[in-house]
Amino acid sequence: MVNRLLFSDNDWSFSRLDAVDHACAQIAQEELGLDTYPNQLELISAEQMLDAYASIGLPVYYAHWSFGKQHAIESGQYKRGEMGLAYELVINSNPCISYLMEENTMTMQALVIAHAAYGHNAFFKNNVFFQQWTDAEGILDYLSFAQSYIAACEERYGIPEVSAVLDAAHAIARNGIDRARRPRKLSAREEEMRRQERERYLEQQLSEIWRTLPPTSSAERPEQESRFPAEPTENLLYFIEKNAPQMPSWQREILRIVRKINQYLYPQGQTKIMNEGFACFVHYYIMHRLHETRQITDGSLLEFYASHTAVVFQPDYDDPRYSGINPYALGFAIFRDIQRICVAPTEEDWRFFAFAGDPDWKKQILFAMREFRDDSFILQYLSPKVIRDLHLFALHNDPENESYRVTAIHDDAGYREIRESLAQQIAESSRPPNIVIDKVDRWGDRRLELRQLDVTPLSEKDAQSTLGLIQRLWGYDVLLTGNNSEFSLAARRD
Amino acid sequence: MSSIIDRRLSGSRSNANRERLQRRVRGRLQEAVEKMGRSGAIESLSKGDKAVVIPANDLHEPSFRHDSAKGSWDRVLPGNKSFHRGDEIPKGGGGGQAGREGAPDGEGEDALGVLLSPDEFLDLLFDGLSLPNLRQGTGGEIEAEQWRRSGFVRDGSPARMHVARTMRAARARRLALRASKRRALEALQEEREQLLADIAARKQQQDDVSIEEEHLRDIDAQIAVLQRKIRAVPFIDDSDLRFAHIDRHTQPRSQATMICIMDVSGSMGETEKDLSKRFFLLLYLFLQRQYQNVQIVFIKHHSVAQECTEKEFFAAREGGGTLVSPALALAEEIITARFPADEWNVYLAQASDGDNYFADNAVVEEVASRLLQRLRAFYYLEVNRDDESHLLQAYQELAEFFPQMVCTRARQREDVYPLFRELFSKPQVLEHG
Repeated sequence: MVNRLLFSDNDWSFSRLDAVDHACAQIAQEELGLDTYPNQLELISAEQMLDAYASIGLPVYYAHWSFGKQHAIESGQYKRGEMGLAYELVINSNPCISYLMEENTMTMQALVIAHAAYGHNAFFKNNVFFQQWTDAEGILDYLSFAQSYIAACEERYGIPEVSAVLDAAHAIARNGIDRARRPRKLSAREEEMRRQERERYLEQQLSEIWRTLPPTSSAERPEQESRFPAEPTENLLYFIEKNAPQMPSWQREILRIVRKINQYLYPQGQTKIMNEGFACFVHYYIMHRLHETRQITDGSLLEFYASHTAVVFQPDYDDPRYSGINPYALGFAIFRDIQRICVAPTEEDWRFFAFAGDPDWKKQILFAMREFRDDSFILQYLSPKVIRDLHLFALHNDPENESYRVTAIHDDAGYREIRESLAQQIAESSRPPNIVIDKVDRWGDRRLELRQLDVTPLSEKDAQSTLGLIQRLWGYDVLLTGNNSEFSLAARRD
Repeated sequence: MSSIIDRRLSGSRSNANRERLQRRVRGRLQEAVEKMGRSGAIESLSKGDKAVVIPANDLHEPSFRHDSAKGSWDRVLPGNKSFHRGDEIPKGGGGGQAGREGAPDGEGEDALGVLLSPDEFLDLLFDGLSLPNLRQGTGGEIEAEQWRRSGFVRDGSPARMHVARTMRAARARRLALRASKRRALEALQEEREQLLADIAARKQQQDDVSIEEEHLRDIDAQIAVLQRKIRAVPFIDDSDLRFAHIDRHTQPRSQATMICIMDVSGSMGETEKDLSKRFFLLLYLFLQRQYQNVQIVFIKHHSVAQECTEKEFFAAREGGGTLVSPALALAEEIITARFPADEWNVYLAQASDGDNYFADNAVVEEVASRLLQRLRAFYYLEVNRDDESHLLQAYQELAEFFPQMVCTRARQREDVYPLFRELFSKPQVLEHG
């Protein structure tokens, strides 16, 4: 096969995009063996990119002031030149939608197509966590259902009313995720049918739970009346949606919409390092292959290097640019190292990794991409070499002490500790405080009692305002206590 | 297979969110805008997007989250240079290794910049204000006849001929009339080719070709006729002509004129001018929101009055004593000549430090009382003066008879916007002729 240069100057055009997409697809599918959703590449302007930012990258979203706020902050920063925009944005849907910025040069468009349309896309389709927790088929439909439902509510009940419900729902959205149970698939039409059915059913149910007629005989008056809920439940949003005593059904539906959308977004937060790392690995491979097969020029390759190194740059902890661990840098380093461990293992690798020296590095990469999420991925694959390259070290903070203690550095004694500590840190950072619904005083004042199970102190001001919002949803008093009653906050009905 | 879609033209979709944001912080925006109204640069009030900064704590989105400053934690950081296991690093010391990480969204944002379009800005600036004495309802509004375009017609004056439409009609007619003849012509030409080939073939076989040649002559004659007919379809025909049509519409016209009178005698310094200018500008912007068309006339005066341009008006500084009556007389003249009261809502705004030649006040009263009958409102702003001038007193007397006479005073630039709000926020019920 004779390869021709895909482009020699740097302006993009639709035919060039098409040609580049073909070339990338060929490498991705034939050489890397990636299985992807069909792609839909959409060219957008900077303004539209800012819009997409404000709605967490979703192409269709209901309206809320907080997105306007996000937009004001970001467009302000962008216009003042404090923030560059991402070159692309990709949506976990089928077809997989990638947004390409019109400002990108042709080289950048090639990079972006390789990164998003093949890297991320393959990740969305194959990673077990995405497969189990999200529904790429139904999401676009569901989002338009949500948008029109909420618009209809605004029409009917007024924007302030709807906004109040959304404010409260957003406040506990992170506490509205089923972590142990897989959600049902989404479909806009079924959703609408189920919604109507639910409305009818719920009204019967609720009147059962909240029956106010006195029990026929005092013997039935339940001392032994079981706790309600029987087990503490961690999904606040779900519990309130199903059990709030006097909530109109449209408000329950809004809670459900917020819950469903957050559930859909949940895996993205759990796989940030892997997802970006894998996409970087894919674009790195594809761009090099395009160059080796003489489809892009040396100049393009150099331009690609400039962007690539900027993306996977990890500033040191004492660098003014430091703002936590860069998921692109860490993810890319680990995936590259998996390849190295297969291709050129050292004595150390043999000790650490059972797959060291596997001749089929592609199989190992794809396995890693499919079967893990960030914390387990780190635990499994963070190699001594990557720890050394990044000079990782672990720090312990005891609030009683005057100083931090270095607990591990990149040496033989520290590798495993750093690995575990980092995995732990990643798992925790993606988890909200562990707050459960402990009980509801069903026969008394209908007070809702929340309990915090973990011991890390809460930001009190925020917790208090959040309780206030929960109170508005619930309609009666809400109480939050620490697991060992270290503290107690209340929001009372006025 | 990938599909590529150009979305660039589908535009921005952030308006709904933006509108909800503004609704939520309307009170704050209002405060910020009013602050700008009080002290902002005058020129900037009327044009351009405005960045308004509002405190962001109203917009805080709470959630249950850990307090990163409290509790014990373990954290992995990149870029170790000299630490060994077991090293102690004093807190708060140079390294800055903690605290920066994981600051959750919502902290540290204490102000939010919101960009307002000129319309949004003025909406907020003039929120809740209304123009007294505005003619409302169809009865009071001025009916005006206007010529307005209304489509195209086949007949009209040559001056209104619409060339593009005419040429389009001509082309359509030519295509329609020639099409069938062209088709027939093509068929004939094909037949002729065929015939010529036949003749050549027969000649080669030395057959008789007289019938064919007869036929050929026949076809040639038909072709000639058709070609003539095609040529005869005129390039342009009377029936092609199209004329832009205009029609008379009566429609309520809302237009106002604002006559600004300012004292430019030596006693009016920069401060006084600045105060006046603020007031005039606010009034102008406000009128512009009430009327479709606002004309503005500038009259400067010391002992003589003169109509001038805006630039001259605000830049002028001339010596001499002060006489107010000539300015009012000039205003009256201009109204009579250019702004008949049944077509125009006339507003007059005067700014002065109140110095007037004493004997002139009587003349002023006389001219003003004549003038007032033709005005929607007469705003008199006395700037930068401790006591009330005789001129102000004279006007105040008039105000007792003419409710459209409104007097007010300003000492410093911050006063102007509040007094403006005050003037227009109280409902004034006036009758007029």
